[in-house]
Amino acid sequence: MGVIKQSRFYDLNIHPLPDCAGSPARLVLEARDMGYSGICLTSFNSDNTFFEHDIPLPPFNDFEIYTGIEIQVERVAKLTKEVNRLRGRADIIIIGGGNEDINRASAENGKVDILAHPAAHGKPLNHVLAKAAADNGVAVDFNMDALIMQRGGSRIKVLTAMRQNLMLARKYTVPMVITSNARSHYDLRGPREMMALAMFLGMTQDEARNALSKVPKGIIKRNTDSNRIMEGVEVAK
Amino acid sequence: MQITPQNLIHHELIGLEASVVHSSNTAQIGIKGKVIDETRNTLRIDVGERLVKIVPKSHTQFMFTIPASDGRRYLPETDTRVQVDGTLLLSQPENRIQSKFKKTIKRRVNI
Repeated sequence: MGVIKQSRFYDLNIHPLPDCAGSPARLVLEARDMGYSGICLTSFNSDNTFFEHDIPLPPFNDFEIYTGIEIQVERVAKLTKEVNRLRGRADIIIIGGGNEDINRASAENGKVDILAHPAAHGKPLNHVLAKAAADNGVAVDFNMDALIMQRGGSRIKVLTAMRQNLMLARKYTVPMVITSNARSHYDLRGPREMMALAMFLGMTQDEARNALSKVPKGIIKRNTDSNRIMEGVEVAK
Repeated sequence: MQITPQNLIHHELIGLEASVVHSSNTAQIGIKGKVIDETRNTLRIDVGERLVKIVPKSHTQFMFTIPASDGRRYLPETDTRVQVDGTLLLSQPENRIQSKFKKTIKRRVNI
């Protein structure tokens, strides 16, 4: 268990105030208490994000706060347009998936960081999408709120789809992330609880740990490193 | 046009100092010198002592040194060094100059 204590955990999909009820400061405090090293606060509405208002955040030196936008669109053409428009404005670009067309478009778009809740409608990914996501470095999200919040048939559907996604992600080495998709601080779960839930899905402990620590860290580094000019071009120190 | 890290992969490479920092052919790691010629798939690097090495661009990470100048003279102390994945350079030099660059690496790294 020493490995888990040393790991730095990140939750990359938490929705704060303008869209949902939790205030950013409360979410940050709560996440820090639970043992996270950093979170990404994600807004749905790109015109009214929390980081454009001057909302004060608790100043911690040992806690990283990133900004993100979750794009929720119906049409593929709009998705590409929104991604290009918002890429420079937030640290992390997340696509709210579920719809098959949207899943495919985001898996094939190299500018997207995370495809969130791809199994929202109970439909799993397929081998084509998994391969595309692996090639473009789009991380597939396993959102634990679906397992916690839903009941009965819909939960079974999501669980089945997530298991299928896990199988595909293993086969094609797609980066996996586990997020809470929290809409208030009551929805947040600690890293080890999330890992336990993910292991219930069928992930091994190492996979679950990487999905909470290593892969999110890679995504953050890719997007915030100022020495990185583009994919494959880097200014050396 | 001034050479910058942003436009390096579109730019003329002949004359730049280059070194091989990573390659699938371990014998080529550490080759260092001036680029004297370029083909679609290779760079010719003059390593001194009248020796020229031909290095394939693919599967190789290059470190290019961009000379810094203040407009009039070179400032050798403040050179920028840029690490480039050779896959991005895979094209005829005259075609690489195109403004819109669509080639991407097959697999994103750092995950």
